[in-house]
Amino acid sequence: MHNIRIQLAEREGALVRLLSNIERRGFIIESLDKTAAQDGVTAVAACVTPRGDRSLDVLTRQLSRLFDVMDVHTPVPAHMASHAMPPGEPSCRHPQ
Amino acid sequence: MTALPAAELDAHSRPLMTGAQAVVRTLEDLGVRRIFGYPGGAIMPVYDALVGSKLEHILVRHEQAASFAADAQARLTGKAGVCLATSGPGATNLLTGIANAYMDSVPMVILTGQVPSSLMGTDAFQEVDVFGMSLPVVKHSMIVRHAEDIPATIREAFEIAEEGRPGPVLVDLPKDTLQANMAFDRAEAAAAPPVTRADADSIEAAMSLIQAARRPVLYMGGGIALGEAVDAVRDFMARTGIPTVATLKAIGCAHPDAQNYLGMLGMHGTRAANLAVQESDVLICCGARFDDRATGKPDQFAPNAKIVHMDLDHAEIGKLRGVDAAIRGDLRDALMRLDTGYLAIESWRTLCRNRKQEFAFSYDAPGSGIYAPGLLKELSETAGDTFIAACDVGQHQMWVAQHCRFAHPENHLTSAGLGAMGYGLPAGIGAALERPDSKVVTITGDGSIMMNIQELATARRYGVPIRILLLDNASLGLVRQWQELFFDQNFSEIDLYDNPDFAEVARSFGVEAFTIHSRDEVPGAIERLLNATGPILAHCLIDPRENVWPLVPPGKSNTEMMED
Repeated sequence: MHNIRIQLAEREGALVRLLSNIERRGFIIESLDKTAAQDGVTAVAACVTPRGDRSLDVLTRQLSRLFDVMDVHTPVPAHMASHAMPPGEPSCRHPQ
Repeated sequence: MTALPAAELDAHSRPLMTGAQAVVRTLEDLGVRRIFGYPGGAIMPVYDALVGSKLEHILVRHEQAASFAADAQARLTGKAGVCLATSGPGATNLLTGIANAYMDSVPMVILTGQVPSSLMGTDAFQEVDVFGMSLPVVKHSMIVRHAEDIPATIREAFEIAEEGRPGPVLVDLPKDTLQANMAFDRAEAAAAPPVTRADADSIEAAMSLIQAARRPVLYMGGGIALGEAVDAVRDFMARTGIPTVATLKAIGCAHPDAQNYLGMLGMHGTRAANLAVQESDVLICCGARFDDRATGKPDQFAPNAKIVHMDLDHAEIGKLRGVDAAIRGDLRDALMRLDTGYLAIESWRTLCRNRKQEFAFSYDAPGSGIYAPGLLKELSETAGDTFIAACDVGQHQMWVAQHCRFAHPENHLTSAGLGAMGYGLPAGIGAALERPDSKVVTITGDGSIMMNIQELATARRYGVPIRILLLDNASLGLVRQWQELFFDQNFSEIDLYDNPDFAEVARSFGVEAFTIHSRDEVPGAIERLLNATGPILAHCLIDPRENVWPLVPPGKSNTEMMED
C-alpha cells in the first residue's frame, strides 16, 4: 500500500479525472481524503494498492501529466515506493 | 436565432455577439480553415453562426467519420483537426474517433453541443455526459459554463492538443452558453512552448551504452514524426550506421532504401527486424512505447539488451520495460546531441543486411489471381513520393505496412493503437481534402468499408480526389486467419459471402467504380486509379485463403515467427 498526495486545480471534472486515472492505470484506491479548495487549489491524499506489479513511480508520472494536477508527491522513500525494476526487466506482465 | 449585429460594441469597444458566434470567430482567429461535423439540436446555434463564416465545413454522414477525417488532417498538418457534433448520439458517435486520436497521439479539438446547463444531469432529451464518457480517451476536456469563457477555452484546447505529446481535447458547449450574448475578447494563438531539452547527463549515459554496444538496434516509434524528428533520425542513422527497425506508426521515418533499415518489427514484422531486436545488446527506443503488438511476449523481448529509452512523455519511460538510460525531452534535439560517431559494428551490420536480403518478401505467388501484396507494392511504387495511404484495419492494413513504400511517416495513415475498422474512408477524405495534389488512396477491405460506407456520399458531394482500393476476400480476413491458425479452424462469423456488389454500390452514390478479378488487370487498374481526379473505387477480388506472413503467434516471443 502506498500513500500519494496530489495538488489539484479545483476545476469541473478534475477530481473524477484524477480518480479514474488511478484506477485505470491499475491501482485500487483504499482510502481517500480531499481538502476544501483554497485559492483554486485542493489537496487530495490517497492510499493506493497496485493490482499486480504496476509501478507507483510510473503512476506518479502518469498523474503529473494531467492538466489539473499541479504536483504529485509520494511521501515514502523513493527506493521503496517506486517498485524499482532491475534494468531490462518488464515492469508488468501480460496474461498470455 | 437572433444575433446581435457584429458591429455593436460594448463600453470597452469589444464586439458583442453570441457564444456560438464566438466559437466560430475564435476558430477563424486561430487559423482553422476546415472543420468536419454534423448538425443537431444542441449545436444548432454554432451551425447558425457558421453561415457566412470563413470556415469550410465538411458535412459527413456519420459523426464518427468527422472525427476520423479530422484525425487524418491533423496527422498531415501537425495542427489540431476539428470536429463538431451535437449532444447525445452525436457526441457518442465521436467517441471511437476520439479514442483513435488518443491512442495514436493525434492533436484534435472536439466541439460538442450539450443540453442547456439547467437540464444537465436531468436525463434530458439527447443528454449524455460526454465529458465523463470521454475521460479515459482525451488528453483533456472542459465544459464551458459561461459564454465569455468560450474564446479562452477554445484557445487553451488547441494549445493542449498540440503541445508536448499531442492528443484530443474535448470542449462541451451547453446550448444556453452558445445562445447567450457576450463581449468578445480575441483569442490570440499562443507562442510555441519552449523545447524540453534532455539533460546532459542522460545524453552522456546513453552515449556510453551505445558506444560500448556490439549489437545495437534503433527501435523507432510514432514519437519521431510527432516530434518533427524525421530528418534528425535519418541523420542519426547515417552518422552511426546503426541497424534500425520501425513500429507501425514509424514506417516512413527511415528512407525506404536506407541500407540499415530492416523494416517493421513485431507481430507482422520482418524476420530481419525481429531477429535484430531479439539479438541486440543495446536497444535504443526512440519515441516508441513497447506496445504488445511490437514486443510479443514482453519478458522475452530483446532479452539481453540494455535499454535506452528516449521520449518526450516521461510517463512512457519505464511503463512496460525497465531502462538503463532514460532521455526525456525533445527527440530532434536529443538525436542531434547523440554524437557517437560511426559505430564499429561491421560484422553486426553485415549480418543484419544479409538477413534483410535473405528474408526479403517475394512477389512470385503462383496462379493468375490478384496477389494483394504485389498489387500494393506496385501501387505505391507507381504513385511515388506523394503516395498517401489511408488504411482500414485488417489483413490489408498489415500488407500495406509490409509492402508499400512511404517517403514520410505522415503519408501512412493507419489506426495503429486502436485498430478501428472504418477509419480508412473518412481518413482518406480528410487527407485528400488537405493534400488534393497527392495520390491519396484509401486501402480497405470488404469488412472495413461497410463500417463507414456512407461516406461515399461525402466524397461525391465535395468531389474529393480519393482513390479507394477495396480488397475483397468475402470475409473478415484477419479474424479468419486467427481462427484458422489458433482456433482449430473453427470458423465463426467471418463469412461475408453475401456482400453487395461494391462497384454497383459506389456507382449508386455517384462514384466511379470498376471491378477486377485477375492479376493481368492490375497495371491498368492502378493507372486508372492514380489518374482519376475525383472519387473512384477499384473493387479487387482476392483469394479468401490468403494470409499475412510472417506472424508471431499471440503470447510468443518475436523469434517464433510463423511463415507460409
